Amino acid sequence: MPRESLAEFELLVVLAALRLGPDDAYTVSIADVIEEKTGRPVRRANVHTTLQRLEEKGLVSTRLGASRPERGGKPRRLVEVQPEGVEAARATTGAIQALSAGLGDALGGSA
Amino acid sequence: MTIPRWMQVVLRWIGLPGRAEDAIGDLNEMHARHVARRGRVLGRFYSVAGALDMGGALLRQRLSGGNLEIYRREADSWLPGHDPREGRRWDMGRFFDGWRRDFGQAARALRRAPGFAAVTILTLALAIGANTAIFSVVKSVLLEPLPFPDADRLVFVGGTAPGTDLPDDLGVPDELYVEYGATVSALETLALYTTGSSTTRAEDHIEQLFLTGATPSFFTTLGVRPILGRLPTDEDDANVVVLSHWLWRDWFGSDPEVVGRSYEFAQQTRTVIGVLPPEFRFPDERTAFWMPLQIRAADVRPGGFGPSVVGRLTADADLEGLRTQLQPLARRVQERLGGPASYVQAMERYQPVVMPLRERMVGKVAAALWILLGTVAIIFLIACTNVANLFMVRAESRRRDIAVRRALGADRAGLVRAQMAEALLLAAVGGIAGALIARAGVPLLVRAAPDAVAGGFRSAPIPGLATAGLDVTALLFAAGISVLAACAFGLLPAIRFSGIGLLGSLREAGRGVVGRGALTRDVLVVVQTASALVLLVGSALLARSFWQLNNVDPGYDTDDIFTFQVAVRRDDLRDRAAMSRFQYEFMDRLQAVPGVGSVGFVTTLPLDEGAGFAAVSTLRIEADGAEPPRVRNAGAGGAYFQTMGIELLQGRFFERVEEEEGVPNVIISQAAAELLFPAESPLDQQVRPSDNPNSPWFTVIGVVEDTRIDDLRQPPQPAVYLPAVSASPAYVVRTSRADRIAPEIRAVVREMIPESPMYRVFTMKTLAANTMGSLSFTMLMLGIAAALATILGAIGIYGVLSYLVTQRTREIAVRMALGAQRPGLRRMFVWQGGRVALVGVVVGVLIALGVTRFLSTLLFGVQALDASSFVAMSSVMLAVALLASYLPARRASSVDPMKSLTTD
Repeated sequence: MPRESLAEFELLVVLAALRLGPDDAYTVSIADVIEEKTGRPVRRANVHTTLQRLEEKGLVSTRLGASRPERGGKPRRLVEVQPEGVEAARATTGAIQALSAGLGDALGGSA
Repeated sequence: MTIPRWMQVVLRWIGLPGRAEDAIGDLNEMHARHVARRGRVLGRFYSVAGALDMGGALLRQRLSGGNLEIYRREADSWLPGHDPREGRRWDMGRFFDGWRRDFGQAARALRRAPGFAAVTILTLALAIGANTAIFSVVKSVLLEPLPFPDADRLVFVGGTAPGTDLPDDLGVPDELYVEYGATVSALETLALYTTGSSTTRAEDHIEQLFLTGATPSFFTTLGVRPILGRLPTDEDDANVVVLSHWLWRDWFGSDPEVVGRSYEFAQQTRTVIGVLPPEFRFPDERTAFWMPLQIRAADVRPGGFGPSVVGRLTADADLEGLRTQLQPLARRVQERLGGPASYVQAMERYQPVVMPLRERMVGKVAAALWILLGTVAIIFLIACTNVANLFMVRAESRRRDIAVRRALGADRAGLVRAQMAEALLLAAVGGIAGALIARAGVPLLVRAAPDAVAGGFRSAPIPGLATAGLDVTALLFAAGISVLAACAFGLLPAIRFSGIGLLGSLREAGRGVVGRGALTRDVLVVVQTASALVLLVGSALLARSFWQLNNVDPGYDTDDIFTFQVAVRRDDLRDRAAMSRFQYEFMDRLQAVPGVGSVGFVTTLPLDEGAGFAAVSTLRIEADGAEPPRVRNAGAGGAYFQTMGIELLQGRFFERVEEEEGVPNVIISQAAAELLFPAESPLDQQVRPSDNPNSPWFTVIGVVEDTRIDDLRQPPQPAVYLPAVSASPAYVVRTSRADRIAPEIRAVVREMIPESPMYRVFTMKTLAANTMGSLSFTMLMLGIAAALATILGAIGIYGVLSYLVTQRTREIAVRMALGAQRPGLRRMFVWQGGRVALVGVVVGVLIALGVTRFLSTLLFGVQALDASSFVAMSSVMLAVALLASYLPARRASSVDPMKSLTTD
């Protein structure tokens, strides 16, 4: 039984972070991945807030990377999804899959 | 590529510790992307939007106190079919939702009233723009701290000797400086400095440059550190120099190797030992280099006035305490050292002058700037009252609408908010437009500042003026006054009309009865008329001063005269005759330039370097044992008097041989003739300087017209001219092409004396204009402001009366139906406007009586309470007011009673 269930945007952020891996996941890249995969505009500020909320809940951890010239000498805050986060994402996607199973017709043929 | 620094500061301030840096990094990265994708302008816009958004996120993090769950709504808002941007809503909740609705409504309402919106926005934009522009300049010049550590403890110390003929700004003689250093406990450190200009040659440059000689304590007192090399110490002699940053950059290409090299500075080989930072510009930004000045108590000789002192107060001292400590010292020094009679007299009357360093650096322009700021504040007041008036009228016409809303249960706060939303919206648009106006206006303002203010060879530039620009503070200022404006013109009608009685209003509104707003509106008109009149009177006084000053006869011509200085140094010109021959050869060459009429020279030029002072005696004065009077003196040669148009009244001019041989003949001015030889013919009389009993007697061979020497504002002073030869005089050239001839003259100089740079290059017209600089600048600004204020005031009166006429159409129709005549009706309305304006004029005159004295330092030949200016401008204001009343009155009298009684 999962302790945490994720709101949809939280889920997207966690999945994007998992895709990118702990060395490349940070606010901007996460937003880019979500935009690319969903085709919807994403506010960086929203990702920033969501990441912090996930961190407060212990689902992700963050650390500051090295300073980078293309960021005006500022570091990235790199995101690593914790086992609890992976578990929460699995539980949430599982619930969605369970509920959508067999609704192929109603949902217009998508998996 | 990064977002602006101030944004970073704000974000860091908002964010939790350690949380802002990476967010700023994100924004920087996005900024680069936005600019690459959308161009500089649009990209910046996106970046600012992103930064605002991020600022909101950081703020939420801070406010949530580590429990962002309370903002969970955000996480849920991203749902398919639900645009995520819909979720972009201030989380302050419903409060802001209400405002959003109100602003939306306000925007729609204003779109339906484009005339009202346009007039309001234009009025506000002009007022806010003018205020922001002037504020930017005031801030840069008067409010920003001087670029020295603990600058508020720095003081300027000078001196003056009232009652003597010595110049007002006498400075501190060396011996007094030594005494100050030894005895004054209120000063932690102090330094003596003196300025001048001299020919300097280095690398490929040769130019006349400004320099400052200063005791080594100068640099420690001001707290400056070199960016390269070192500062002078007490062990250095005058053979070392410290470079200004600009000289290092412009002449030496910022080469760090320059330290240790030697060049010809001020006509001597001196070694560069250091370079000062760019922000160090003292005494002013013209200074090219500094040379150490060593003053040893044992070596000082009394009598050298001129240098100034800068000191640093101890932490617990103040200016008053310092003044008290300095006061007795001049006398004490004089008693100890003795000295010649003129020195004794000067030191007996010597008064130390103490002021904050900034006051010294900013000088006279401060008064002009404060006047300008006061002026634009008045404009702002007028603009606000005007807009308030428009709002009142608009609110009045919506009485019925508001009453219905109240009846339907709208709460009062909501109604106030709805009205304020309109006001804030207009103020915001007006504020943005005003900021744009200010952005364009500040450089114009800096450029319009006359040479005397902006700095040239003749006077020091105002510190900070050149760097004045619209900055964040000025923008915040614009935003602040926009909100202030909104409150000023929006709140009053908003509160008034949101509270109107329900039944009464509904009853009244249909009847065209003039409501209770009348008194408020009248007061607003009175305020406008009065403030416009104050500005009108001020600009009339300045215009009269300007006119008077323009029509002063200085005794010489100011048109068609070109003047410059050049310092020739040639080994073959050591004796007087050789130098004189060279000067004549040079002047012949100048005369050969096409369009040149005559050429002469003078050792010190009026309006530029003025003239020297000398006490002179005559046989009779010496016989009587009377006090020899002080006169101004200068050496003249060539066709100086003819070129300058100084008329010969008696006798003759100098001949060339008199200059060449230094024959003891003089030409004196009319005033000197009257002073020295009252009731006698001055020709062939004898004069000599009184402080040298061995001097030969000089014979008066001519009398010339009086001239104004230092400033067109000062009356002519008695003057004595000697036949001169000079290596570095001011040449005067009469030509109808005075403003264009410089290159040709320069070519002659380059050909004849390639070693010597030309400097102090002016036309007499420029010098004359400079003496009127701050007056003409202030006059122009005040004139523009007065015109603006009068127009705004007229619009105000017109607006109110037009409204009244509209409201009273029914009443007018009834009157006419009952037999009232049209001229009578017109008179009634004109009188209605005139009466209010008359009260405004009276109030304005009273205020002007109190404030015109602030202009008195700028006035010339006219009193601050000049009756004719007051009467004339009151009449103008009244005439404008009556005209503004007449137009609506005429409309009132053209009411068709049948038509207006049958409608509505």
